[in-house]
Amino acid sequence: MSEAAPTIAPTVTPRPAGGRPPGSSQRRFGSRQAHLHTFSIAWQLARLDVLRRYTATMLGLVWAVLSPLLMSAVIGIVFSNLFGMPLREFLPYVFLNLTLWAFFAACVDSGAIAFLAAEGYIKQIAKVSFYTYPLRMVLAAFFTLLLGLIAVAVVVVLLGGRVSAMWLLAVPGLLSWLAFGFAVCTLSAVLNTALRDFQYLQTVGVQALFYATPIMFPTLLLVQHDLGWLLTWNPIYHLMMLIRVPILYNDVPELSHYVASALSLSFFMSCAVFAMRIARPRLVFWL
Amino acid sequence: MVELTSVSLTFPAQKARSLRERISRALGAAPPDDAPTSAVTALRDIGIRIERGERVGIIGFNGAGKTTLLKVMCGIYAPSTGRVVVDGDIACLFELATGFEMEASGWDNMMTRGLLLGLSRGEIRDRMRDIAEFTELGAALERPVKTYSAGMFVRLAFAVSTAISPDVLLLDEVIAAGDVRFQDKARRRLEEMVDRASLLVLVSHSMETVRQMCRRAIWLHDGCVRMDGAADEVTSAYERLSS
Repeated sequence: MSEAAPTIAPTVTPRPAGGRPPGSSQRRFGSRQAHLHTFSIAWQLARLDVLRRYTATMLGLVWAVLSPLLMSAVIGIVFSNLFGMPLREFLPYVFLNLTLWAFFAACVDSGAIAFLAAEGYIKQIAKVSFYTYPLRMVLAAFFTLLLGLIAVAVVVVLLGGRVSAMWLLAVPGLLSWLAFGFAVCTLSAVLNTALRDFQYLQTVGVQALFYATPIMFPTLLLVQHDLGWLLTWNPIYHLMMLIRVPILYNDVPELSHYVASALSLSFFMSCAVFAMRIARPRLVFWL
Repeated sequence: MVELTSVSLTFPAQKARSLRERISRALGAAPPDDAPTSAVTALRDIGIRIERGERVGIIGFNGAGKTTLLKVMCGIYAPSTGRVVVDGDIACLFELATGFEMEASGWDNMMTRGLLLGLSRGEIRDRMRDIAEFTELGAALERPVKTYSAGMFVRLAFAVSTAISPDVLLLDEVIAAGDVRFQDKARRRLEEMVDRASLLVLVSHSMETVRQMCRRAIWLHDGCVRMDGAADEVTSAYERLSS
């Protein structure tokens, strides 16, 4: 027996204006006020997540910065010898890449549990936008990313890099990266809740992507081995370049990166919205 | 106003179908989809219209679909077929012991739940003192809620959930919160909330409560409306059958 598709979702018509008693919580779905409220719930939940994550360990926040830095140091030393690149250049490169990648990986991983962790809310309180729960995960991951970027900036400067107004160009890149993370997190949330087996596929996929993306090795390596197409079709590469080029090279990213980023961003966002539309009436039954 | 037009709800057979099962199904190794499964039809062709100002009791045996009906009304479950229209701000109260951030303090959970219920930060801050006082949790509010007892969870959730003023209020069963004295206090607070609402739907096993609070009652049986009418008549018909 197949699941019958709901013909008409429940509609909530707004009460006439002016008659709002104190404490009434009527917020029209889709209105600006409703979006702000969704953000404010996600913000609150993310804040608690961040506090929990960093007050549970002795070094707290320091780990967020220290672990990619240690990792970068190891990879940097090994690979800079392997590729014959000066550590002074290679270390900031790897550190920035790993920090950015960690955000992407966090979005995918935490997306998988975004709805499962909110089961108690979803089954008992209606009217809360389902986007709240992936957004919560993304905001928490973004906080860690910002911390990491501060550390990256320090490393870049310590190793003789230049800070210029060009760095401001990384801001739109960073916002795109955030939006991309949100889309990916939402997709991961829907897919993993609908299909519990998806997690295994996802883990393999993310790992494969990690090795296919220039993170631990210079971009040129792929081109030299006729694997340039791996770059062309990798949205993560283009999005990363929007941040990497201004910060590491004090330069303007190529237009092609902006175009590719915009295209993939709209593609993934559309997929996420589509997935959510399918999931909305069914989600509570998947939990 | 709450209006349900030929609403049916069928729960999907499995919670989340696994990939393995889908593949074996596709290969023909597993029984085809139309084999008898555990799909449950919880509501069948329900048509109910409740006007502003009404107080309606929902009665019926366990498993008749009472709670499911409430969840459809407030939008937690989307109906499989049919249409639900709600005019006004709606809130439902049930399953109070779930939905907490375990590592966070009572205060933080208060804020979180308030936001989820649709209050703004400012509105919650204004009510925090009142809510805290009602819970009688005192210094325990500073502790992570994972250290709370079941009764403390319910008190916290109850206090926040009753701090709002919806137009349409859906209540599931008597909410057992804490000791006798607290229950007394809880009942008073609930009554105040009911008074503020312009439409009440109450699910209860206590015919006395239904007669006391409602003028109209709906008797659900096996997912269908068996009887819909004056509370006195419906409850006595129900009592005749169950005794």
